[in-house]
Amino acid sequence: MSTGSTIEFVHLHVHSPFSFLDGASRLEELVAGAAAFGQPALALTDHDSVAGAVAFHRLAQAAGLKPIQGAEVTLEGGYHLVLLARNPRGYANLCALLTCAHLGSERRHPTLRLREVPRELLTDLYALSGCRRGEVPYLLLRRRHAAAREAALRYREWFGRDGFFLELSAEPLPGTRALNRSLAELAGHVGVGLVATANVHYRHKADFPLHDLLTCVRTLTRLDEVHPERRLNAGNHLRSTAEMTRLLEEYPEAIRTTGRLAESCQPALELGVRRHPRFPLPPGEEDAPSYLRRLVYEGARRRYGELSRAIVDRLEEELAVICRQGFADYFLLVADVVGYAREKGIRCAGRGSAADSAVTYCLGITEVDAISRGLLFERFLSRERAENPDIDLDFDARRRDEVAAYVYRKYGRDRVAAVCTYHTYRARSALRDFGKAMGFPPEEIDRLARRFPWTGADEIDRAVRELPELRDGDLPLRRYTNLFRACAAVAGFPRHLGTHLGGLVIGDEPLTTVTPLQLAAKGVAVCQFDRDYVEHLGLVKLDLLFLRTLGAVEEAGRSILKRHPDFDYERIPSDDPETYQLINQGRTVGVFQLESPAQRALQGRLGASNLEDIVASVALIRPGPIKGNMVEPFVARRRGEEAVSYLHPLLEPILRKTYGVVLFQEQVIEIATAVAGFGAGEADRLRRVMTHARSLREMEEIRELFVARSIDRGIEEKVARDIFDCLAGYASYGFCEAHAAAFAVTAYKTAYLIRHYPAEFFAAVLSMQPMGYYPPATICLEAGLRGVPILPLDINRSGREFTVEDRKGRKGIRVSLARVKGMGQGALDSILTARERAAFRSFADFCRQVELDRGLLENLVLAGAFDRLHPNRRRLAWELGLPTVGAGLFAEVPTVAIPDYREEEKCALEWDILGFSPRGHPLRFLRHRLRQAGYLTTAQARRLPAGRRARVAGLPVRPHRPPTRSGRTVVFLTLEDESGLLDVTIFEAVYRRHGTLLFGGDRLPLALEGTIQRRGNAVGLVAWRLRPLYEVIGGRNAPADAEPPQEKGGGFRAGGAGRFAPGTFVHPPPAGGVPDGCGRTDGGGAL
Amino acid sequence: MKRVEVRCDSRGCPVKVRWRQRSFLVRVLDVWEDTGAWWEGEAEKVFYRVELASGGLLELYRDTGTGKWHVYRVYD
Repeated sequence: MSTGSTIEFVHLHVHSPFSFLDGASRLEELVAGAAAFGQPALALTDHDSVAGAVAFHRLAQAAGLKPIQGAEVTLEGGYHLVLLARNPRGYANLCALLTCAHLGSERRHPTLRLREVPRELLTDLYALSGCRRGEVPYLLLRRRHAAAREAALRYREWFGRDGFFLELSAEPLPGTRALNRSLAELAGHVGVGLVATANVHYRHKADFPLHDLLTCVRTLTRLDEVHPERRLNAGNHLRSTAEMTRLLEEYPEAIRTTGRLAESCQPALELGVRRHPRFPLPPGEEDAPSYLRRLVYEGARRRYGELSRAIVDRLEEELAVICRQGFADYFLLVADVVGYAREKGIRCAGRGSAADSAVTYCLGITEVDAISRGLLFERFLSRERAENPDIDLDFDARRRDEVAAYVYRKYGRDRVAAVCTYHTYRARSALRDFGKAMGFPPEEIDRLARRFPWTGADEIDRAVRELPELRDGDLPLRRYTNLFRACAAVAGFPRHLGTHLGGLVIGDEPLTTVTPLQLAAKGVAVCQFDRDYVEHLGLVKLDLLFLRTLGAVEEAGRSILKRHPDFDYERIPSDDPETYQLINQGRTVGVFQLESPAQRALQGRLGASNLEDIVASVALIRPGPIKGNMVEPFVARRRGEEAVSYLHPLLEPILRKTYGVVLFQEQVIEIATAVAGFGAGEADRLRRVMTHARSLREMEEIRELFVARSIDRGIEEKVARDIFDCLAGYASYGFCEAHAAAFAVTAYKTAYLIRHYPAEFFAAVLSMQPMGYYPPATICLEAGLRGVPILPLDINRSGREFTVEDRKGRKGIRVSLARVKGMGQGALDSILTARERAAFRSFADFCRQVELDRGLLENLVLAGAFDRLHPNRRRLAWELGLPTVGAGLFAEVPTVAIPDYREEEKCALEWDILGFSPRGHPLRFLRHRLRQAGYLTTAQARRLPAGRRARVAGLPVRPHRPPTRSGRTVVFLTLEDESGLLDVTIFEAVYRRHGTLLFGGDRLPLALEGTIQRRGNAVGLVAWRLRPLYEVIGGRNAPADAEPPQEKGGGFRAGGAGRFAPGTFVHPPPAGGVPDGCGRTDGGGAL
Repeated sequence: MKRVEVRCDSRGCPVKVRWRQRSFLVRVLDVWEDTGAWWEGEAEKVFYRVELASGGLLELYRDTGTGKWHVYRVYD
């Protein structure tokens, strides 16, 4: 190394995980590495993307490095080219170029056609010739010197003599020395500069195996297979300045140029600049604030009639904050979107903290009266926090896209885009990807991955240590050591880019100056930044979410109106005793927000009698209040069984409505204000510190401030500390009252619909699947228990959706055709179109008119769609299975007698094809054997007194392990049989023995023994013994009549026997490795 | 692969190779690394393509696991 000034080298060609499966070190790692080498700057050049730009910018600045934004773009012919932004204009050009590349090509294959893009987009950029896949090196390696020279001249022409550089690589590949010599020679000939790069894909040499694995995932190869994109060696790490200087010692100028280029680049990203759109004002309106004020007051008069002083004061205060912070346009924009939905009859509701605002209420954005509820505007929009307000809107799920389309039309396709999400590696996805790459058999990987809960990839080891279903001994865990290690290393890596379900960004100028746009699967333009990054970029985000409940409510309302023309959803009485009776019984399956086992158990004890109780319920069943042990005191106080007390009289007015319990985030803010005299903004900071469980230091700081201020106001230190601890205890998970209130109204109304219009509401719920907590089979069961039969599939009566039919004065729900497995929109259309002409007279008639693929046709037959035309379902199935050579499907009619399926076989077929059976629950068919074995129905069990032991059997629904106060695992599940539901609790010791039965990935029917528990109207079973049902009532060697008759003359479906689930229903799973045989009765007589 | 004795300079680059019972001065033409089947525990190899002072080309590699040199390929 020469003496004199220190050489400054900067890595200008660097990939992060945002190269999606082509970068193996986190941005944090890369930035820390460059900083540790004393390099003054670092560039980020991911493939065809700047998704990492915001995170990189912030990390680099924090580490004292200059961030250089760039990308390695893919050109025609698959050539690579590195582009670096020299300044904000360069960054905007880069975004525009990347947008051209993405939108102008097939999805997932972005290609930049440099010849076709406007020349002005090629300014303010540096272009580097790229790795070996760059055009110039590629041609040189193939000794096509003349072509390489031509290409170099072309790039020089595009980017200018001082904008284009040939890259000398330090990669230790065969031929690198010769290639670098040729590049240097060429640079001299065409008069462009040289830069030294290392094509960095990870920080340390030791990270290479991970990168190789990611390459395998990306190229769909196994480790032992070859693929041209897999790298020969571990030479793509972040190298030190000394190492780069040594490796490229013949080219000191190329090293120096990197420092010079970095020096000349200005930071390209401008964070913290607000880029909100102006709302297009109607003619005659002066400015956004005055227009907003007019709309708010118009709305206020609609909502309140006479405006009291208090109302005006509150509106004025809110308007002042909104307008001072420059959000008037944003509120107008949201109000406009809601107005559009209203006009088009699209059901819509604002959720979240926006309901803390009286302005949003008056604008019709939310339905919660923030003034009469005393809700705090500060929770929604702080005057001290320069953050964007966040208004989330829910729409009828089926019509959300119409609303989005309106936004695109109104603000222009170039100014609106969907927010992206990064699909990041978690335990299951990492196990699947890497397991495959490491060559494990697919079934094994599937079995392994399904055992894992929804947990981070870095929590695999902990899960293996703690979860019995993973430790059960049937998993060869030692085989997976390397796999688990690799998974942990990629925890949280973005794997690919997806579309956020509801988020749209709207810009004040074309978005491509801030973010590249690319096409999402749905065909919408999506930006390369997620919701957080978008915010940092200063763009305004609008969340248009879809809520299936709103669709179900809409659909049910429409269906109710057919028979009850006076019905009006908006005028449902808010104090219907029968509705509260239903809620108090805990029979709330299907009720929005109140249907989980924990909610049903709560409702069985709470004795809700008004909307406030529902609001509290929505907020109570959350991890925070549960962990903070708030549920029991709340219920006891609500029932008057425990006195309400307050730590200080100041708390009484704030906590009175929640019986002295801190339930809502708004209350945290109010307490901080009342006790410590915090300003509204300070109080919200306190809430945020607590909510986001930030650093301990921050918590201590605010604690001392809180205590000191309280003492100043004459409050005892001990009391002040107690109050603070109480807040800190559960505010961490507290719920926003405004949000709870918004949801509570819908919860109550859906309960009302179930009480008074169960057929219409459950039909709508079944049509809108998937929605709610329970699978459709449970909804069908609940409908049946409420006297609404599920009517079988019928090719002439079943519609597109579930419909309500009158049957002998009673309403029933007809199964929809859409429910049939394999039914697509096209098939549905063709069936319904043909049926409009005339009802189908026979199966043959149907086949003549409608052409369906064979699998779907079989499903229709087996699920009973033709039962009314052909009473013998099995015979029809058999006929369908005949060889169709020459004469067509029905040329020959067999003469042998074919007995029809038995009831339980039909039930099982329907269960498989429809997800439930109109004939009832499969357990029905095992009942006599269960009775003999001493098993009760869940309905019988629910009638038993507390403390009684019982045996029950059924299908487990949604077993889950919520966080508990003690930190011990408790499993909750709902057991389902033909008579109803029974909520089951399984404590840690039992779960340790039987974890695999519950979370093994197969949904096996269970036989349980336990003790009945009663609290108020809530009944449950605490299970202390679990077995798979087949152990109790016989396995494969069950009585012969449980076996389907053998097919003659070639079965209608190869391997179709697996569908006879009543047989298989009680059999052990084929690959389970569990012993066959009936009735292991050890300990069974203990009852 | 055939073992071979190699004398290196201070940076680890081969300067002299003893091969077929004779010593040759060599000049390095190219260097690269090959990580091989890392998942089977293979160590990285560093390859050198060298020109013998007497004419002829050899490809040698040093197994970084054992530190031993081998002849990979001979161009006669």
